[in-house]
Amino acid sequence: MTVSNWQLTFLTLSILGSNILGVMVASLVAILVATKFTAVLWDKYKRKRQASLKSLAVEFLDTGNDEAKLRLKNLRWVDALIFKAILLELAEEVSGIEQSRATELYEFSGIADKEIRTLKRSWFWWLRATAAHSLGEMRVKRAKNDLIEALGDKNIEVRLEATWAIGHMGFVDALPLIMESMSHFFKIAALRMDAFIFEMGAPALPLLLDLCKHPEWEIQLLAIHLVGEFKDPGTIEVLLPLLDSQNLEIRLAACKATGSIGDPSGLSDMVPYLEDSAWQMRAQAAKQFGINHFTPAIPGLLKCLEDKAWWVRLNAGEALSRMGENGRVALKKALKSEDRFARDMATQWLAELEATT
Amino acid sequence: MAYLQMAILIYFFMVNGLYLLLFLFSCAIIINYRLICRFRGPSEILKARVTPPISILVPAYNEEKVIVSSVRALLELNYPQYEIIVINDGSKDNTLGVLEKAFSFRRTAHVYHRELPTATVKGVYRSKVYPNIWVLDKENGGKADALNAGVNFSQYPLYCAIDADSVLEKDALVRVIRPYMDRFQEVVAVGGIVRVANGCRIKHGIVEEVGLAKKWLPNFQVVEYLRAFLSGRVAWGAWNSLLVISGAFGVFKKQPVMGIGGYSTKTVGEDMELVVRLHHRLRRQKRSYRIHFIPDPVCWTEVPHKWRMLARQRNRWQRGLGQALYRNIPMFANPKYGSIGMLAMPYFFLVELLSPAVELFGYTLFGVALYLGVVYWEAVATFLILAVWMGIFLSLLSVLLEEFTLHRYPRVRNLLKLLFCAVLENFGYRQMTAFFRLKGLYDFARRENAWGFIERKGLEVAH
Repeated sequence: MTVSNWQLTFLTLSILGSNILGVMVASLVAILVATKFTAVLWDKYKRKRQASLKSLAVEFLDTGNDEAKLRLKNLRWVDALIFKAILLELAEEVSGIEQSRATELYEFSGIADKEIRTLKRSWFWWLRATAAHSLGEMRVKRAKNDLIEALGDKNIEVRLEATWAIGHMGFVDALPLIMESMSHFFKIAALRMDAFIFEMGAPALPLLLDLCKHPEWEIQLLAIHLVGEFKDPGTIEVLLPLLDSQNLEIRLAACKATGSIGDPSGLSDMVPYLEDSAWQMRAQAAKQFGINHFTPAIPGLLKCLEDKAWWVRLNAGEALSRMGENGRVALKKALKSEDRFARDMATQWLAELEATT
Repeated sequence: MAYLQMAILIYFFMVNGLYLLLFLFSCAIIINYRLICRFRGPSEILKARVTPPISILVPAYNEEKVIVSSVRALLELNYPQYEIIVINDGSKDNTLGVLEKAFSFRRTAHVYHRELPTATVKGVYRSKVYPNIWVLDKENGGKADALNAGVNFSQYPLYCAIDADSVLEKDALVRVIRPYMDRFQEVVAVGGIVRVANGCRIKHGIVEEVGLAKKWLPNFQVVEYLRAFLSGRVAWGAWNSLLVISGAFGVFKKQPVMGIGGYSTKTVGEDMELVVRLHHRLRRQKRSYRIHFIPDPVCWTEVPHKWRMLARQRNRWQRGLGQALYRNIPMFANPKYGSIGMLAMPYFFLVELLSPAVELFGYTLFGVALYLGVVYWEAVATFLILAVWMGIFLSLLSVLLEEFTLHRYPRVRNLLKLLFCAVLENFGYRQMTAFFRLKGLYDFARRENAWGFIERKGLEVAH
């Protein structure tokens, strides 16, 4: 290619590129303007329809007036969308007979069927997740099997919403399936399940205790956490053997759960773990004794002030500082320790005590 | 000359093609992220007992103007359990004094556990009013050294490193913790979008109204930040190849950071260097890990409002980039390091590090060629127009992405101003920053290691 040929190509390419980009920039601006305009129009329409649809829904929830109900049948898809949002909002606020009427309205308007179809067939995960949430919020009990199926969805958000929906409707028997589907996502699963496990109440506990012995450690971990949340001293017998598990995560979780139950007999059995071979376990045990102000652990905690792991020393010092006068006496005793680290830690926590009292 | 022109043209298309590719990926990721947010509200994380506590580290050197409002803003954060550790890095001004006055600190006998080597810590202070605020008063050792001291002192498994002149959104921690809630074992660091605070109305350390500055210079940086954060970092984060988490805001797991010896004190870009080194070490150990980026605006920071300060900042960033890449050179184009070695490192080297040199070389070359009469001026002019269109197009895409997904500039006036800046920044601002970065590249080659002082107005008056 000669220089001038190359320059002509260069020129042509540049002009072509500039024109294409110019058109694209203009299109972007047009899209922006169009979107803003549509948003304003949609907002106006929504506000107008919301007022009339909401008054009909509220009338039915309050009085059970069938005339109001009939007017909410066969809504256009745009109105159905607005109406669904209204129902979901109302469902959060009502209970008892009004709640059942809200569910009835949800079924009657055909939204429930559509949501079940969406949950089963939609290609888009956010639509499936929304459907699962709505079905749970509206307590559509006949959707139980579809929600259980959704626990196997490839998208975690859909599984989380299905988990919540099942829990919200109180299907205790589905608990093992929930745990299996959520076990790889410990924190988010625990967070989601914390929200409904108490609604399920006592019937959930025996199932959870069984799951504490599950062969998969991640399921065990989740079950131990949830058992701890119940704070039932009767569960200690299941938790204590787990302090000797092969898996450190399980041992730590069991220690934490025993601590959050706070039963003195369970705590007494945990004292020897202040001398455990794993520093994490020693530190966790010390922390739990502090939280529970468990004075029988003071001699063990004093030894922990001389521990080679800094975290153990810190937690032991803090635990002693939480144990009132007995703890203070123990910390003062540690000031005379031959171990420099123990003396430092005792000084630190005594100073803290002094500053806060 | 023709071959040089061809090389520049190829480089131009390669770089802009990459930008477009990154943008398209980011678009999909941001939309997906916004959808996820619909299902996970902050209240759930706030209530949960499994939400991990966080230590917030605020290194401060001569920050008497901004430190009190920054700490106040931190006290307003929505998060179940956190501690604030201000590290006074041997300030020569009254940083410690203003803190003592505002938060009533008392000296404690707290033991400072020096696991990472740092300069001497002279005293540990704790607020009498807010027991979760601490001050470490230490001898000057630089930002990295201050952060290491903070890491040593922090008591929680995660720490959040922020700049003293940054303001966090109320829900910043709740949002940034999400990746940890999903996969706590794997995630080692998470970064978020940093936004320009100049022009925003900030009261008592809280952004009350988002706006733009009266001056053009900070507004150009608004567009620039949108481009950098909304396209580049989002996409790299999704490929687990993010090489930088801004020093202004990032949440790290303490253990892996301690495992690699903490922040390096021998670089001016300690934030990037740490992340690159984390990748380096964890990949070498064949560990399964993730370094995330959340496309959520979580932090507001004051940007330079004078050219002189901007020059210093960009110079330092460029040197930091050079140092981070140079120190981890074994990863470069090394398939053992996966996407980091084969994609991120070459990209950052060829595009981020060398682009100012190529850009300015291109301008010079065309100038010389025109002077010598060996090119048609029409060709040069149309190519420059193409380059400007491309710049405008990429900037506009970022502004629109922000408008459609995050929507932090609700006023139409601000949006129009941003669109105008997206056009205007291509005439002068970009060339100037390229020049500052080129100077940074030169200083990196000369092993210049000075930090460069940046004057702050204070966030509550930053316009």
